[in-house]
Amino acid sequence: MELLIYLDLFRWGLLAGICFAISTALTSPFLILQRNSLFPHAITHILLLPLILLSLVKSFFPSLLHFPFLLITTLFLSYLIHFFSKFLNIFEDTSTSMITYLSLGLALLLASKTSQFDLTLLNYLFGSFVTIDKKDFLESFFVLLFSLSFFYYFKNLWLAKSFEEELPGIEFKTSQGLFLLLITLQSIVGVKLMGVLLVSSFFVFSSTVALKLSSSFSRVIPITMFLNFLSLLFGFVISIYFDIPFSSATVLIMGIYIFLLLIVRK
Amino acid sequence: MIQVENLSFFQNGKKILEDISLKVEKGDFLAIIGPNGGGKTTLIKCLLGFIKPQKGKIYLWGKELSNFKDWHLIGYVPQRAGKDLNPMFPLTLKEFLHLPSLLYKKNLDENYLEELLEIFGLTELLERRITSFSFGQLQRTYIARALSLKPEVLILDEPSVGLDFISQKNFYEILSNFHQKGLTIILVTHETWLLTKEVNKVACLNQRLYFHGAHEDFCIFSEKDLAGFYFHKIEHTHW
Repeated sequence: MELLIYLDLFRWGLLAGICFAISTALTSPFLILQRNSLFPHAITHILLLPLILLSLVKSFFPSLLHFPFLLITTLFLSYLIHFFSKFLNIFEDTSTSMITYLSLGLALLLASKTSQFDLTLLNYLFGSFVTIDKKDFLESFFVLLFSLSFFYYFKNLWLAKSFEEELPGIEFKTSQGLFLLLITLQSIVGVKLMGVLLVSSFFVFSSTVALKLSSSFSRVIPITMFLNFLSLLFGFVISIYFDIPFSSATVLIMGIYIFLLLIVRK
Repeated sequence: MIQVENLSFFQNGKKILEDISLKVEKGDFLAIIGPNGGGKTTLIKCLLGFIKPQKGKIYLWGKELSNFKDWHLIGYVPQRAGKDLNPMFPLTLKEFLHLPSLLYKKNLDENYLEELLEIFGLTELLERRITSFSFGQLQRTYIARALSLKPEVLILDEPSVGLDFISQKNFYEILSNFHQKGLTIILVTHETWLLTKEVNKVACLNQRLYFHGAHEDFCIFSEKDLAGFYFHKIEHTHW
């Protein structure tokens, strides 16, 4: 009975979570295979600055523009990674680290100087089921729709790019650009649920287990989806029963997958 | 089929290819030979549109490269094929061989695919992950994939590197059989001693094209001449 009350209370959070779990299952295996699994981690750390900026200026914008604001600012900061890499002639992972630290530093500075060093910052860092409303769910739902359509059109190109740098007559630039845009969109909608610190876990654990256990690639996406869904569900239940943050409960469930995988592989 | 006119390519101010002109006609088995760093792979990358030369033109089936759309007519096996595969990849041989038909939106002839699997000794491996394959199996897998859409031209970039002597011999026998059935082949190698007798044209490349003509004419060159192309001593043997 108590659980039903919670289900009603957190329905938008759960629905948004389901959308997020399905969306990330459509992209994360390709991300791992392309050896780019730290990309969402970098994006989410960059994202803290746009989030703090938004909290400062959101009263001046209609709420419909909040999501585009986050997206454009994050994309701009991500572009700076390429800019630094190109003009300083340094490797991309080095410029990623620089931009990430600069963004985090600025975000913390703004948070402390604008009296946001409280619950708001904690919500951004660790996520919160409670604060998710209908608007957040709709954003997650639209990102799911984007994910499904991009996956339908580009899955073969993403797959080919996972083991091939070049193929005659095949242009990877557009599909890869849209792939990274999709990861950025997914990270943005996942932040409210999982927090900046742990949102990228949805891009790593389940897909790694699925890649390790599947006998063919066609099974990877459904297994990732199932494991993501399971993490969400158990994470939700455990977080309520033990009164712990949802994001940490979910990551602990995902950690169990890896532990079980180790046992199975042994 | 393939025509290259006065092609030059520079990278970071360094000359890689200079004024290359060559022709590949239907039924040719062209070996592009030359030392390491001689620009062979760069020439192939230009032919396949991976990189854009600063000078010159490339025509594929009479169309300028930028207007060419029928890429399924070219099968390509890259250098070090499969060597950088992520070991986590659960891709089966079946999935791997079906991918070109999905990418190029062309139907795959399943009977022909079975034939290919037979020729390359891969029939038993169809449901296995390609990451579990040996280097030799992987090499054959990539060639089978390149041939899966029945291309008219097969381009192989240093395909026999890393294979033992027997595997190399078998590999060239298979290539010869495909050539006899009408497939045009462009083979890039720096090992002149690997040239099969099936090769009917040779292009000797070391930034410039030192020789482009019939294999018999190439065989006339002395080791001293070849050393001039390569800038070091090489041997002249054939299977």
